[in-house]
Amino acid sequence: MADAGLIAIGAGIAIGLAGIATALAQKDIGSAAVGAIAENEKLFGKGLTMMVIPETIVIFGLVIAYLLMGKM
Amino acid sequence: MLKPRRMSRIIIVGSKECQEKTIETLHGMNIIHIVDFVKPDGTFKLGTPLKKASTASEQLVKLRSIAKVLEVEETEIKRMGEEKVRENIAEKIGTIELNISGTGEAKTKMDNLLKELETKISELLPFSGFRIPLEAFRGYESLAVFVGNVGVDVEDSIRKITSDYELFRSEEDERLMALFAPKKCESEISKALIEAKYSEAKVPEGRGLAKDNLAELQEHRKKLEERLERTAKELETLRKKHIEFILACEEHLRIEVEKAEAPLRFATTEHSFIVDGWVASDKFDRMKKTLDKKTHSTLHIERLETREEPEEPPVALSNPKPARPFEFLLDMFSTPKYEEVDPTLILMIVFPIFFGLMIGDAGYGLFIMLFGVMLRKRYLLGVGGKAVGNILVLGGLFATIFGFALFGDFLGIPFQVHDAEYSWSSLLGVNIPIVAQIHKLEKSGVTDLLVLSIVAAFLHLSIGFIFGVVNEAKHNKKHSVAKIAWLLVLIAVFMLLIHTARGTRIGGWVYRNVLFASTDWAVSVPGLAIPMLTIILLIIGTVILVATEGIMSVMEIPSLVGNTISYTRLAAIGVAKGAMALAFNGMLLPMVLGGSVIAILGLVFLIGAHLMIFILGIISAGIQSLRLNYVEFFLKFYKGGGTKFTPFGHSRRHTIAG
Repeated sequence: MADAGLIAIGAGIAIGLAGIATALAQKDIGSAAVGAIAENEKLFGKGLTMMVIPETIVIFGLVIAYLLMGKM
Repeated sequence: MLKPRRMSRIIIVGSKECQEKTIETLHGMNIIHIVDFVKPDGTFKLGTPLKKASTASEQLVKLRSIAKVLEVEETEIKRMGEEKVRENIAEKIGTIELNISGTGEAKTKMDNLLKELETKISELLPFSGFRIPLEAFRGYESLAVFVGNVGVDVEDSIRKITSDYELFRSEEDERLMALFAPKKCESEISKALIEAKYSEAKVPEGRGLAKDNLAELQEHRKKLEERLERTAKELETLRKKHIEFILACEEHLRIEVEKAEAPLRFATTEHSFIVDGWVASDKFDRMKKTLDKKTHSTLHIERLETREEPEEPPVALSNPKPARPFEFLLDMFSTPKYEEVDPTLILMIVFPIFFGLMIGDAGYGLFIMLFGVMLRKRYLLGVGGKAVGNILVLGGLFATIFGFALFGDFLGIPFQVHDAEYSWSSLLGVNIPIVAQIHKLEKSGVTDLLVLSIVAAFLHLSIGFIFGVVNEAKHNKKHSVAKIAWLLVLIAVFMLLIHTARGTRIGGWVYRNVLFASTDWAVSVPGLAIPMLTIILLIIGTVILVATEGIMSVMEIPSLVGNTISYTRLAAIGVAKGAMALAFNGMLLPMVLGGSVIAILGLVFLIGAHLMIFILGIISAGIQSLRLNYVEFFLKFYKGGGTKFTPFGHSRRHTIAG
């Protein structure tokens, strides 16, 4: 049995850092996408698609956090 | 279904005498997508507009300027027969024009005057704090005048330069100052002021104290505003009187212009015209019959069986009525190509299920359905309309079903007590026999949801790859085989994941009933058992992939694992929303149940909190569900980029054809 406290911290770091990474990626894509949509509204679908791609990063973080919690 | 509507390329040839009749008939039927004739040569020329084109467009321009002055907006009105609109149309437009011309012009003038006044007033306002007449700010030969805003106190630094100065501060705006100093010190003072972040202000024109000027202008503005209000009222009366005619007439004229300018899209010779276009194959016969009847069979109508140059037909999606709102989601991404699978039907099934799983609460689900019904008729912050409303109704329906059947939750409060402080049974004092199958906020429940997400991912992605096989089959056999290989890899990944999760409730069920424990034959690496079937499928899949898509495709296999895991957002958002609702209920329900004045306050907070979760829920569940379809699903097969079928015709809102 590993140290539960350390595991909890690890899980927190996993999801927290993944969240920050997603935010950083989405910041740039989001502003570019809004710019593109302002010029051509038809790009909304593509813009949204591009925008949400980095969201997978935070989901990975969540899964890792969850797997870690399983070891507590 | 699953394929865009089949199209036939047709050609209509006739003599110029029946051109107008043909246009009239085609426009009325609203079923032909005209292919514009663009390459005039020696034999064929572009057609010329019908005679009525110029009058109709002239009237349309007049009417639109009238509509602009009266600020007429699109609304529902009682539909008007076209004959009635057509009657004395020129006179009617002329009368309205005369009626409003004086008032409209006056209003524009007053608007401009008012704007000018506003600017002058805002310029004068800071200067009204000086007790110096405006003319005293300028016109000196030996004095330098600095008027402007400074960030810090400058008096000390100026005193160092010269003692021969005068400094005034505005009583209205303490940052504004006026400094009078000898001209010879001008450059030095400039430098000192720049250090104090000085920015020059423009001294308003005029004479006398700014305060007096200001009072005069404000008086003027008041009078002008009163007059403007009167004029606006007059225009309002005129608008109410004429709105029905204007809307109906605008539509009528727009249609007239459309018809009159149609020959610009035809190829013509001196005495004949040719219409080239697409029509839905099943409507061809009806079209031919109607045209023959109206023109006494003087037209030559032909369906071109073989296409000389491969040209993409326009795409008209053909789906059962409940699926039509989802065509809107598809169009938002991109219109499919003619030969592509139309995934609207899958979208209709999958989108609401995913949405419902993420909301997973009967209370929110019911409110979302209500909200959807409301949005069908009106717009909120630019979002709304029939399609959006219907999509929300369907999403809300699934959220309600899952809320009752799966999660046993209503507004974040379970029906039956289960480790929670509150339940509907205890709050209402009646036993409600709805038991949660999955407890979102417990470890076992989260595990169940995660495994459920993986199963959903597998099903959804498999459909994507199968569509990919179909799409590529007509195109490129090699790519089609590659999609099968991807499907094998997906099955391999799925087997591995289910084998790993076979200890869980849903994982175990799938392991026993779908995979029939076939994954037991496994090699074990430290910490993980890898089923042999996974390895075999992975090897076969990889070999085919390398043979069809090249060595680089191997690099993309991990991204498929990523795609699969990406579906766990279904669990993540469901849990996050459940936790938020639980937290607010836990904080605020004791206040509400406490009684007295605090209860009312608590209720207000509680409603506010749930409203927030409700809005966030719709946004996040909607976007995430859309994302799973757009990114994970569509990218497996969808190309898009087709031309939308736009029939020659008009769907009337304000008039009745006649």
